[in-house]
Parts: sequence; structure tokens; C-alpha cells
Amino acid sequence: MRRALLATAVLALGGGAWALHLGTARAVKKRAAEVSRERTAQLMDPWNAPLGARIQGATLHDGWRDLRELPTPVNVSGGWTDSVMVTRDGRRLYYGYARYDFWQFYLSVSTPTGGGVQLVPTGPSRPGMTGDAFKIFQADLTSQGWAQTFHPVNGDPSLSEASAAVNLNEDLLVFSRFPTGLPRAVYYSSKTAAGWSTPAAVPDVNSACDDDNGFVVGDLQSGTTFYFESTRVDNAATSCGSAHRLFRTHFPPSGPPTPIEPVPGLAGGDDAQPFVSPDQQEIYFTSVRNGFYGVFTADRQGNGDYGNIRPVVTGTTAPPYSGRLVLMGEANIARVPQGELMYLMCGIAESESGGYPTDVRLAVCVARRP
Amino acid sequence: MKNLRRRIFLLAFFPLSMSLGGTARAQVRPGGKSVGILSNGITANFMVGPRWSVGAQVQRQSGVWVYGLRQRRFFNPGAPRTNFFFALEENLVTFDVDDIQGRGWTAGASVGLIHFITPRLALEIDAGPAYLDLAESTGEVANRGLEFVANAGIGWYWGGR
Repeated sequence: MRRALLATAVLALGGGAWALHLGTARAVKKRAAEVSRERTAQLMDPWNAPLGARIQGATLHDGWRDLRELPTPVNVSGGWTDSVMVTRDGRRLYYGYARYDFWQFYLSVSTPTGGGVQLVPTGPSRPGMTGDAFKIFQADLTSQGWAQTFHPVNGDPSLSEASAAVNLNEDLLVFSRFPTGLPRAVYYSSKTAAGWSTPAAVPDVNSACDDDNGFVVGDLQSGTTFYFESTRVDNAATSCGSAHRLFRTHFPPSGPPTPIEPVPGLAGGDDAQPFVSPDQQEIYFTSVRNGFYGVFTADRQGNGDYGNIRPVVTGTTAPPYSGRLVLMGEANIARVPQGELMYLMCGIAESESGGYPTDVRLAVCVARRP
Repeated sequence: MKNLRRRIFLLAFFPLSMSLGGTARAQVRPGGKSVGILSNGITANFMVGPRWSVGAQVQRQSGVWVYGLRQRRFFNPGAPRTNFFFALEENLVTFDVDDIQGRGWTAGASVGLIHFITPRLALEIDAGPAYLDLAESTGEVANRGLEFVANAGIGWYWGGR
């Protein structure tokens, strides 16, 4: 009996090395809470954000690998999800969505048959939508995956609004608004304690030349540089061409912006959809150049021009196309402790006909570079 | 609120136990059975020999379920009021904490005592180390290690030779 009491006392004293729990369930709860915390941190880690199927037929360059679709709710079946943007920390996505069928629209524009532009709603309404036109959505990384919300800068349901991008501080948002068809126009909204301001047109930029896909570096207090694509043939947009080029202008904290100029060093391609790193040392863009179509990158050189232009993502350019990557663009880069994440739009051919890809669906996708 | 419930239970249980106790001896006996409240759950035990009892238990904490078996070997069965024992415990575990689900198992050893406060009602206490092995449902996160667990409860004993 004494030995048993002694053993109890020894064990009780030995228990000082661990926490003492009244009942196994309490000990389990402590450990389960540790599991929960670790798993939540893992799920909230952008490097481990939920992934979907691997994308076939893509060639990744420059150290990028593992191109995959994102799961729902970011990607949905049907409709037209487009213009993804990721914040620098990888924890938030912006994207546009319209209920219209992308492929029917694309065919009606690229190979017109006289039926006009086809805007046929095929996709579901995402939360907050009251119309079929493009609206901006935000998805935040949570322990339950991406949580999607309707962005407050969205206005009239009949207006198309998409191509959102935020600055590093996430307090300045630029986006495109197309009132009734083309031309598109770029707008901005700033975030204050009261929320996002009423959007206004980016001053001294919009023209008749399809100014679109704006990207902003800096903030309103210290000055911003605004990058965008346009079909203008000269800086003042006195006339429009067919090819896109990248332009920029700098807005100081006060006073007029600097004159619009082409992004230096990128001549020679049909360039669109810019992403610029916060230090402006890297630029990513969609381009057709030197006979190649894909996502390209360039580095800022000593003279301020961008150079060392090279492909990052290219797709399938010869049959078979079915199930393979045939369209790509809108690349944005997040930098996280484990490496970099590139979110972009991927067009995957569902089938092929006559040696061409058909039924292309757009999906938000992501690649990584450790 | 919990303490109030326990007090009400004890106040009701003591007279009941005294009245049912009759001339029964206050001791664990072969063939005896018991049910009781132990820590965060309930337990039922059955003496399978002069020294060994086997039992089952269910424990619960918010988001945690523990269900398993207990085996106790009594050092001094038949002693009039206080019985010392060595116990083994094996449990399966499920949990859902902060929207993270998982499962696992535990195994523990302990020493303890049963002290009869009436012929049928006994206070129980035991303590010892327990090894816990938990994993989140996708298997991405696991957690294993030793914890020190004490149990306290009250049991109602009947039957036996």
C-alpha cells in the first residue's frame, strides 16, 4: 500500500515535467489545439494555399514550375473568370468575373460570323452579383481556403469592371471600367478609415485607345507610378493602332503627373497586362514577340530601361491541344518566405477541331519558384 | 454552473447510495461492477477476477471525444475501505478544434486508489503518464508526446462475491 502511495507521489512529482491535466480529454484538447494552430498556420501560408489540377501543355522557364489551377470558389464552371492579381504577400487575390461564356465571346470577336459579339451568360452568379457583366471579386486566404467577397468598388451592375490591381500597401486600387463596350477606361479608388473611396478616372490617362490593365506602384502620400497598356500610337494618344504597348506615368504627391511614356526597353512586341515589382526592378507582361506568345519578364538595367527580356510561361502551339494550355496572361508575383508564387490566367482547350484548339476555358492558376 | 451541478449530483447520490448500501461491504470484490463519473466523462468497470477489473470510458471536452478501455489491477482487493491499483488505459480520440478536425489514440499507465465513503460509493483518484498521438484529418500535421494525466471521480459499486 505504501509503495503504491509512493509511486503515485513519484508520478505526481514527475508530472512537473509536463502539464498536469485532469482527465485524458483535457490532455487531448491541449494537443489538439496545438495541431489546430499548426494546421491553421499551414493553411494560411500562401505557399500552401489550396491547389487544383496540374495544367498540361505548359512550358515554364526561368525556374518556375508546377503550374496548377486554383480550386473553387476562385474558379467556377462556366462564365468568364479573368484578370487575376495577387497581393505581394500572397494572401489576397483580385479577379474579375462575368457570367458570359468566354469562348463564345472570343470566337465571335476573333472569327466574326456576322452574328455580332456574343455575350451569352453560362456561368453562375457569384455572391453579390446582380447582373451578368464583369465585376471585381476579392479572395482572402483563410484556414478554410480562399474566401470570396464582392468588392465594394463595384458600381452599376450593367457596367463591366475588372482588371483590379492594388499597390503594396493595399490602400490604392486601380481597375478598368467599360461603360458600354470599348474603349476601356482606368479608374482608381483609395482606401481610408471609412472604406474604399468612390472610384474616379485616373487623371490624364484615359483615351480612345483602349487603356486597360493598370498597375500601380507606390502610394498617394509619396507618389505613384501608374503602368498600363494602350493601343495608342504615340504618348498623347492622338491616334490608336492595333498592337498594345506598355506605358507609364508618375503621379507626385502634389502637382501634375509626368508625361505618359512607353515603358523603356520593351519595344518590339505586342505587350499587355503589366505587373511591376514594388521596387520596379522586375516587370512581367503578356507579349507576342519574336514569334512567341506567352508571359514574359524583364529586369531593370542600370540605365533605367528594362532588358534581358525572356519568356516565363509559354503554351502548346501545335496539336494535340485538348486539355492543354493555349492561352495565358495577367501574371502577378507574390513573394513569400519559401519563394515566389506567380498567379496568372490560364486558357485550357477543352477540345480541338480542324487543327485548332476549341472550347477554351479560362482559369486562375499558379506556379511557384522556390 | 458546472460546480453547482456536481454539488446537486453529490447531494442526491450520497443518500441514495447510503440507502441502497444496506449491509454491503465497502470493498472491491470479484464479480463486482461499478459505474461512475471520472474526470470529464463516465466509466463502467467489471471485476474479472480477484485482482483485475476491465472497463470502458467516454470523456468529452469541447471539441474532443475520448473513448476507450481501462484495466486495473488491485493491490489489496477486499480491503475494507481503501483499495490501491495500477491501471492501463487505451483510447481512441476524435477532435474538432477551431474548425480543424482530426483523430488519434492515447495510451496511459497510472496508479491510484479507490476510497469507499459509503458501502457502495467510492471516491477514485489516479495519476500517471499518457502517450498521445494525434493527427489532423489530412495527415499534414501530427502531434505526439507524453502528458501527465490525473483522474478524479466517484463510483457506485454493486454485485460481486
